[in-house]
Parts: sequence; structure tokens; C-alpha cells
Amino acid sequence: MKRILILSGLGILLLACGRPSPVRPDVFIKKVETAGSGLLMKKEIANVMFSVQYKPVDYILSKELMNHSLISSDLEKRRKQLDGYRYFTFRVKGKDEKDPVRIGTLSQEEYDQKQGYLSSDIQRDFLLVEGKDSVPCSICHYEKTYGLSPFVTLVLAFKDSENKNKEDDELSFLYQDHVFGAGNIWMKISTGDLKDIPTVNFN
Amino acid sequence: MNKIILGLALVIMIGCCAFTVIYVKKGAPKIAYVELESVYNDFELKKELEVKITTVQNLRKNILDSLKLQLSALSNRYSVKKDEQTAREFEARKQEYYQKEKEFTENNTRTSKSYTDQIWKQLNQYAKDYGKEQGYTYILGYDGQGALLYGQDAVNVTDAMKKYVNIRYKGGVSK
Repeated sequence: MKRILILSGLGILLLACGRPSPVRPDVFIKKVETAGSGLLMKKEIANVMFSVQYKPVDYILSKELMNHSLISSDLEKRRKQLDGYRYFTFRVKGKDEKDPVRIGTLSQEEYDQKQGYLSSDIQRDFLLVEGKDSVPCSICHYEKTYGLSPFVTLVLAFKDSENKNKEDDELSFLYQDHVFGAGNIWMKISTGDLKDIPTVNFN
Repeated sequence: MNKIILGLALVIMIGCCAFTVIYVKKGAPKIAYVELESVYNDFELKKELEVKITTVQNLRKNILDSLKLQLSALSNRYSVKKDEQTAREFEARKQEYYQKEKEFTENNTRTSKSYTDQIWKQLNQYAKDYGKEQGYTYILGYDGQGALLYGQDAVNVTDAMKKYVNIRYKGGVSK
């Protein structure tokens, strides 16, 4: 009897260790935005920095709560609106702190063409690979800054694949570049990093 | 007295050994080389883009072949009929063929150059990262053109580099 109790106690302890404990929204935001979490991926190609921030639904809710654009009572309603998609922020930054769309651009006409592409056609060049599923980008929003900021930012959403939450699947993000001359940009979130995402204590 | 001399000699000897080890470890440059062609050919991005460009080129070739076939049929018809309408049609199709051929050749060259640039941009970046991570002072590229005439197999890091660049390309973290 004693042995059984000890064994079950150890089992519970192991299970508890394997699952991250719930954290406060501000702590969760910090964790997701840390490069070490594996949810912020970066890749530098020829002085252009590409980065992808994976934003779990809890992250978006935490952000909205922290900046007071969401109140606690509306949390579940907002969660229902967000559910069913995976969200990302894709950012491109030149090393010289200038508008990265200008890189390799020879004329104003070419620059305008690139801006046009970023506003609409770029959506078809994103792909999310989860297990055997390749999911096209469903929502793509280009944050226009009219060349004033040193980076290009796009907010993306991909519909959940049938493979979502399957134990062994990692997430691979692909951008087939047509603007910055870098070719295909692959970034990956490992299974371990997906499993390590803590839950949030919203109370 | 002899013991003191022996002790001193021992201390000096250990000092020399330690200095040599530290110098070799920190001071001497760490150099390796890679076979560029091999790394380039086994790079995943190169393989993917090669498939992409070959598909497009084949489609374009099919369009040209189809136009050529039409030209040949018109030529045969003209040799039998010798009428002006066929001659005009033949001329128009011929122009269309040459125009398309020129357009496709230019486009293929442009695309091929753009793909080659993309491949080298990524390869150069990963090679740089690999060198930094592994603590190399220099990584030389062997391309059979005479820039590097000989290198011992022990400092050939081609296979390690191939593995590294393909992991990094697919978004993996280097370890």
C-alpha cells in the first residue's frame, strides 16, 4: 500500500513537472516575446533580418487585457472570435535602419510595385506547414508606414489544420520572398517549444 | 643542489608546455576548407529552385514547340497552295514565335540569375554563421579554379557545412 502511494505520488509529481504552471498575462507576454521561448524566430540573410513572432490566442488576449482594449468579462467572447486560427507577426528589417523595401530597388516605379505587392499579393507567398498539412495564409494585413519605419510588418493568420495539437508536429513557416532577394525563408517552431507554452491565469 | 636544479627545470618545462598549449588554442588561426560545388549542389534551396525553374522552362518549351508545329503545318500548306493568305498567316506566326522565344529566353536568364543570387546570399550567410559558431578564423572555398590548391582531409568541413546549411535553411537551430 505504502509503495503504491509513493509511486502514484511520484507519477503526479512527474506530470506536474512536465506541464508548465499557469502564469500571469504580463509574464506570459514576456515569455512569448523572448527569443529563448522558440516562439520568436529570426533569420538574417545578407543584412536583412526576417523575424516571425508566433502569437498564441492567449498571447493576443493577454496583450489586449494589458493595454485595456479588452475587459475580463469579454474574455471568453473574444477568445471565441480568435479561435480557429494561428496568428503570427512577420517583420523584415534592414540592418542600416532604413526602409527595407528600398533594398535593391532601383526606381520609384519599382518601389511602388513592391509596395503594391506587400499590400495584396504577398499573402499567397506565405505557407504554414504542420505535419503533412500545408496551410495557406487566410488573413494578411500589411502595416503601412509610408517608408517612415525601418521595418516592414505584416500580421498573418492561418486556419487551424487538422493536425493542430498533434503531439509530434512542429510548425514550419515559409515565406517565398519576391521583394528582398533572399529566396525562400523557412522558420521552425519545435514540438518542444509548442509544448512548453504555459497556460495563462486570467483571474 | 641537484634537486633544486631538477625542480627548476621541471617548472620551466611545465611552463613551456602550458604556453604552447595556450598559444595553439588561442593564438593560432583555425582554418578549414569546403568544396563549394558540393555544398552548392546539395543545398536544399538550390534543389527546390532548380525544380521550379525546370518546370517553368518545360512549360515554355511546350508553348514554343506548339507554335513551331503550327508554323510547320502552315509551311506545308503554303508549299501546296502557294496562296497569299497562308503566306501572311505564316509570317505572322513566325513573328509571334520569334517574339515568344526572345521573351522566354530573356525571362529564363533573368530568373536563373535571380535564383543563383538568392542561393548564394543564403549560402554565404550560413557559411558566415557556421564559421562564427565553430570559431574558425578562415573557411576557404575550394572550387577547382586554383584559389586553393591543396587541403588535408582533416580540415575539409564540406559534409559538416552541408548539414549545417540545410538545417539552417529549413529553419532549424544550429547546435
